[in-house]
Amino acid sequence: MTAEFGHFALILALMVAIVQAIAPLLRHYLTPAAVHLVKPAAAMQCMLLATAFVALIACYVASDFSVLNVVQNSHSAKPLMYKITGAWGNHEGSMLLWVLVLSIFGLLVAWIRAEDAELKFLTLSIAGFIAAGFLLFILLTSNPFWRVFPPAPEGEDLNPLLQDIGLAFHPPTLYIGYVGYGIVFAYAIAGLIRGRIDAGWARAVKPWLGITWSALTLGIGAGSWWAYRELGWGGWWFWDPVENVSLMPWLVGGALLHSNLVLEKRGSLGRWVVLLAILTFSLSLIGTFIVRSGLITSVHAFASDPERGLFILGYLGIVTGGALALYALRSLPAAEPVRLRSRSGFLLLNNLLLVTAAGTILLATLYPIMLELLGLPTVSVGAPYFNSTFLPLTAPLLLLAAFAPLMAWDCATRPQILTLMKAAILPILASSLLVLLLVERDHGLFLIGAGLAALLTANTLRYARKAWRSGGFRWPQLASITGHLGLALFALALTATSLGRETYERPMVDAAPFQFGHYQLQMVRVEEKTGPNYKTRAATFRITRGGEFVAELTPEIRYYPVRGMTTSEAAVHSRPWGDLYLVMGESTAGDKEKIAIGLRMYVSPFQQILWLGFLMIGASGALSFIAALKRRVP
Amino acid sequence: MRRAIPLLIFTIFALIAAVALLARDDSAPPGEQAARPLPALPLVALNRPTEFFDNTAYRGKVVLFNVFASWCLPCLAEMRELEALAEQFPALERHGIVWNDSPKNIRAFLKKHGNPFTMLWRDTTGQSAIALGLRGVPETYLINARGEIIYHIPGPIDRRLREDVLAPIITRALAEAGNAR
Repeated sequence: MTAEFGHFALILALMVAIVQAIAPLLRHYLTPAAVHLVKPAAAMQCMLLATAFVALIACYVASDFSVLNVVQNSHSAKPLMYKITGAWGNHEGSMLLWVLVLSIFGLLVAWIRAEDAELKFLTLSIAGFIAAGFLLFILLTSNPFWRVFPPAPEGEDLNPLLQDIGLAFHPPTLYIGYVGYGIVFAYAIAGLIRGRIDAGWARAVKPWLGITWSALTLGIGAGSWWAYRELGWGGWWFWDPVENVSLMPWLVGGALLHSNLVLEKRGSLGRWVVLLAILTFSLSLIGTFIVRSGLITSVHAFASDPERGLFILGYLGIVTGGALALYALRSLPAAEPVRLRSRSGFLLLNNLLLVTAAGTILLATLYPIMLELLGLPTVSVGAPYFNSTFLPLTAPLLLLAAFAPLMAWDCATRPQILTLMKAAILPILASSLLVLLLVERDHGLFLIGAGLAALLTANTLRYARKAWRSGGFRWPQLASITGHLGLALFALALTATSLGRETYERPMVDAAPFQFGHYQLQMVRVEEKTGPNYKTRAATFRITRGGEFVAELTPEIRYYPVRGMTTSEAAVHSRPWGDLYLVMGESTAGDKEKIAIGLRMYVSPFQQILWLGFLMIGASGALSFIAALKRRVP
Repeated sequence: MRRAIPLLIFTIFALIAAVALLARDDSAPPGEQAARPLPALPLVALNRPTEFFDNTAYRGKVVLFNVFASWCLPCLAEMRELEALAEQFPALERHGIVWNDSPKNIRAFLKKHGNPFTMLWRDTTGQSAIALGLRGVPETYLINARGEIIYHIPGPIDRRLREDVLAPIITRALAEAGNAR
């Protein structure tokens, strides 16, 4: 009964979304009063989808194995927590979450007062159109409420690897980012239809650009943090296809966020901003679908359900193709051209770099899929490719971020530029000196990374001082300062962790003290403990440096008897200037008597600074959201 | 016309994807593939933890490997078809490979639903799954008398697949094995 209730709510939501989508037509052909339709429709759609979502969760909590989705993705012995999170951990449930988040955004747009009522009306109607397509997709090909007869005696999924809090909450955060660009896209189409992409439009989109970028940053950061702590490789970014598809909308969304500033302040770049909005949402869609349809992990999952694949392609064709066709047909009023030697010009350059960076990733992501679809031998694209294509693009980006905020919007004069150049000498010299004094190897790349980070920090502080002197900080300035300082920290930490990371390894054969780089390690004790559903062997090490106590770390090897699976729990000692990361490798020998466990230690400089950078960049998006809303909410 | 360039690029990509999607030939029976030698599989006997699998020990016999687990519903559904194969081809060696499951669960499972296997192995390290190229459970591999994998079915066997596809191949392989001996 619960499942039918949810199913029915889902169908009703589709009907409401259709009404919302055709409201402009109703207004034109039927009655002008149709304008008042969209607001209650948005509210109702949100309510219905929330009902459907709650119904699905109820099916999972009750372990209703007459619902196919529950059979495939749950098990009666799962802890309650993971029964609930399992509801959106699969394709069908996550698609439902996707439209739910979209409808929440729609509700917010409907609620918040707008300076341009017509733009809001059209935007909500486009959002209804997007939701209707998605709901149709869910109902026809990915329905989470389908029953199975006869009911299954037990669910199929009891995998301890998937039962992780990090995996449960990191996808919804990313989704808020992905889906938020749906609203931005709706604004772009509404603007194109009216032929008006101007400063007013930029102000209307601004809060949504901020909050989505913030959510995307935090989502990616949380994922990396989880990978760093749980996967036991000591790394945090693996250029994995699933990571890449989340990075693309982040890069293009970042470009969008910045060029929207130019549109807001100068009224220029309208066409480019709209194109970016279309692109970002399309990338978000491709990202969601690629990850969720299993296209990347296994092309076969895609092919086994050609109906689903074709629907996705058709949907992309209508949404992206339609938007691009509209883009090609509409002419926008000409705006003032952008001069290169200005803040606008630098922001435009930043856009080109960000979009190029996203392009290199898109190429690397689609190329193997295309090969496989064409039946050719597949290749895998890994870190070397990205190190030689992606990373070189980031250095000029940091330079632009350092100088752009200090430049005048229209055109910087020669003396101004000269002053900026002179001011750059000190931080670069200071950072170079520090690097030469402190760093033992890889000087060249270290100098570039640290120099750029120092320059960015110094210039951002200069900008902050300037802003403070001209009447205190305003919210948008705070957003920019936080974001750029975060970026500087991130760049510094990225340089340090990737160049300065040290790895030590040795088999654990006896309890004698040993040396890992500058550190002395001494095994203190080994304990065998029993957890709720696992047995664990924990070894405690006392770490000293030059006779001085540093830390006691206890990495564990856990064994889950139910599934016969072994996991390795790393122990991390974090200090602001670096992490000590200790992990025991699984025993590979089958012989129980002679287990040789490998012990690895990673010394990651500035690892915590990296997370701080993520947080600050995320916070800057949130600040920009608040800044933009403050103007609108009385 | 410059404004239409993004649309043009998108259209080209979409067309390639559409063609690739539509041109896929799904009519071929699942799993058809060229024969490849059976890789070394570090399997342990379920009931005797000291006995290891030797991939030359079954030369001259036709072996059906079925990778399964007690928590897998399609595996349960497939049991009926495996029983039917056992009845039809008593000479066929039917080996079950337990994947990601405990011996206790497996024994309970086989006791409850019947045991169509002549031998049971455990993949304790996951290396056999990798060597076979396993994508999930259940999967079935048919090995001929020369120790080559001649047929691979990803997913459960249903009645149609057993009668129309698997039975003729097994008959042929058994006949060949008879000649070889």
